[in-house]
Amino acid sequence: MLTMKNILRICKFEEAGENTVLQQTSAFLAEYASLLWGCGATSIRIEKNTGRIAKALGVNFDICIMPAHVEVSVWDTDRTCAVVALRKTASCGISFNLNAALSSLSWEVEDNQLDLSTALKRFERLRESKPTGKLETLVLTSFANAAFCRLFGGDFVAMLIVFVSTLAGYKIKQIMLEDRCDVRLAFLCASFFSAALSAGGDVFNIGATPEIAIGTSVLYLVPGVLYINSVSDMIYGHYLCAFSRFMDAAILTVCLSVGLCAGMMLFGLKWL
Amino acid sequence: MSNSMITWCIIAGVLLCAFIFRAVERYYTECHRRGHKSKPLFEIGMEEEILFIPGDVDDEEYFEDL
Repeated sequence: MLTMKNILRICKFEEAGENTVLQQTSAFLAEYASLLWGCGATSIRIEKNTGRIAKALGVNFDICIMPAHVEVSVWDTDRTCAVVALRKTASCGISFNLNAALSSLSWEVEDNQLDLSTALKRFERLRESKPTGKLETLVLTSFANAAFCRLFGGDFVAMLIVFVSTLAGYKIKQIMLEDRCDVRLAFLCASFFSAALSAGGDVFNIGATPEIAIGTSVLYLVPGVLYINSVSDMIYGHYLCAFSRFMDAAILTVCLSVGLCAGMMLFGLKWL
Repeated sequence: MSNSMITWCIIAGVLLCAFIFRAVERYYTECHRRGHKSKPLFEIGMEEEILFIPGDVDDEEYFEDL
């Protein structure tokens, strides 16, 4: 028999069920946005992707992106029940692969009308996927920096010097970050050793363009993604994120400049 | 050899030592984590353990056949 008490109980039960779904959805969206931030996506990308997923899952949604946290608010279609989830931004390191895979997931959810549990499973799989191998990154970065040297007019000897100095500097950076050293100190040490090693061309009179080898030996440390993201955030009105990213990038650039200058001063090299 | 050259050699040497030390440390840590005994870097063994020359007699197998 449907008494008033039973009706209220059923209503509460339904409300609780709906609330759980909203909680799970908001938690998923917050985790998704946090990981997207961590792998180097811009704020507008985070907004678009999470909005796409929320729309596909049939919930209303809003997001607040801060430099260290993301806050996702989800509510049902009749706007009677809202849930907020707050997550610290992930510190997984910049990864274009993960960035692309997460964007692809948002399209999959929309195009194939995936339900929450399937989307969650795929998200977990992505989160647990292995990043690019350290050795692979080390070698490819060294080749890329050697190519930079060529681009700036360095000869093949200078390219070889830059390759070796990048290999050593990047390895130092990897070791220091593995040992949980401060990222600024890691940048400073890496740039110092890269600059000092590449000064070998000048010290031993090897090659015709030793100055280009020194100049390009620290280019791999320039935080380009941070600078680009900061400009993008500024264009789309995320001024706090833009300022935060710009300051992070500027501090890292100062650290690498100090390392480079120290390396050059050690060998008495002239600035110009 | 000028001061700059000596400084460069010292820096390169320090880096090389750091990388070798790190590699050895990592090797031992990996062995320890996997639970099996780490292989020693240097070991004293007999010549016949490394090289086999046709005609060599394995003492243990030789006596097993008899």
